[in-house]
Amino acid sequence: MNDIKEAGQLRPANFATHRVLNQAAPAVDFNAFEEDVVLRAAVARDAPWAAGRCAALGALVGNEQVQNLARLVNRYAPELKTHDRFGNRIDWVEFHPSWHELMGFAWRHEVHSLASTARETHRHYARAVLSYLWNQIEQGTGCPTGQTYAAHAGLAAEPCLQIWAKKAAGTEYDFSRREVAEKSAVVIGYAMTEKQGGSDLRQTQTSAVFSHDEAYHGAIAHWYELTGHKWFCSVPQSDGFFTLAKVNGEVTCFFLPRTLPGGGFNRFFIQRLQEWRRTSIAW
Amino acid sequence: MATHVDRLVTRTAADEFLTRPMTELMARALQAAELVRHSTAEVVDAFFATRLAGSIGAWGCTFGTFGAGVQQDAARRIVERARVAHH
Repeated sequence: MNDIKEAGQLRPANFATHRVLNQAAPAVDFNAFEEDVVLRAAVARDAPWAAGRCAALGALVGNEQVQNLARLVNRYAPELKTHDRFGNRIDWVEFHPSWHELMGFAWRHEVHSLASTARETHRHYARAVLSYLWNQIEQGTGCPTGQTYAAHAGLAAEPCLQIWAKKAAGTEYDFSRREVAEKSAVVIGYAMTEKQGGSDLRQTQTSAVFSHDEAYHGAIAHWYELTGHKWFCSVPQSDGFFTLAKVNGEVTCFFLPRTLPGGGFNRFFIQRLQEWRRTSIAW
Repeated sequence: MATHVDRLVTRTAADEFLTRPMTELMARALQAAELVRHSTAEVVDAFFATRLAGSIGAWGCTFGTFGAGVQQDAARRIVERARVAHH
């Protein structure tokens, strides 16, 4: 009886049963670069020119609003849009706006591009530090930064892909299906894994058949038609993909632009997005 | 550690089953080399006391287990040095 009587008299302040002890304070308002003794020493030693950039990105790590963007990205999953409302295949992905905000930050801070835009020494090292910092913010967006970074050298080595190399180093993130020449920056993906060929890429079964030679952004490109099914690829909304296919029995690397000159979409069909990951991975 | 790496690389050349332990040991040797070059004596000592190939048991299998080779005050200083968000 006493309990019921007392319950009727509870005021909100009385709901507090005890003081919460032994919990960590929120990790906000800190600089993940400047307060990291080991990391700061490493940059001072090998890439002192990058310290300012690292500090700017390090501040984002401890920024509560940025942390909230990362929470939202993982709370509201991307959705696969196979068709537009008129029934045309688009094979595109829709995201919560926080995804694009984070991508914009990553691109502006050159997490994807510093190694190709900087002229100082140890620029891959400096970019790795940016990547280390970025991955403390949000790892789903970390993936496209790493992929785009890794793609640059391969793109720059091909005369017909010069425009892609240039746009892969662009710092103004551009989420659109426009043709590469019309974009301020591109995201590069890798579609490698097949059901029977994950670690062992020699098991690739996708085949490529030579189609024709045709100029592509100022140089002759060898165009092939690829047929196959990739299983598991990160960032399916990328603007262009490196992928593997067999030509006469030998595995060869190809570059596949999602949007072709003239604005038409290449035939690249996304079957589904991964269910247990909140960032976008397709298979 | 270098001797262990050499031996395991040689054995792996004949038996690819050993590729994973070899890769792990190479990574650990690389970590050790970087620490020797750039870190504090205390961190280097703790690393070798716990990770050295052949010293199985010095490093517990459970996350956060340091093993008896590192004193508590040293462990505390190592963690404090690595702390980033200070509150």
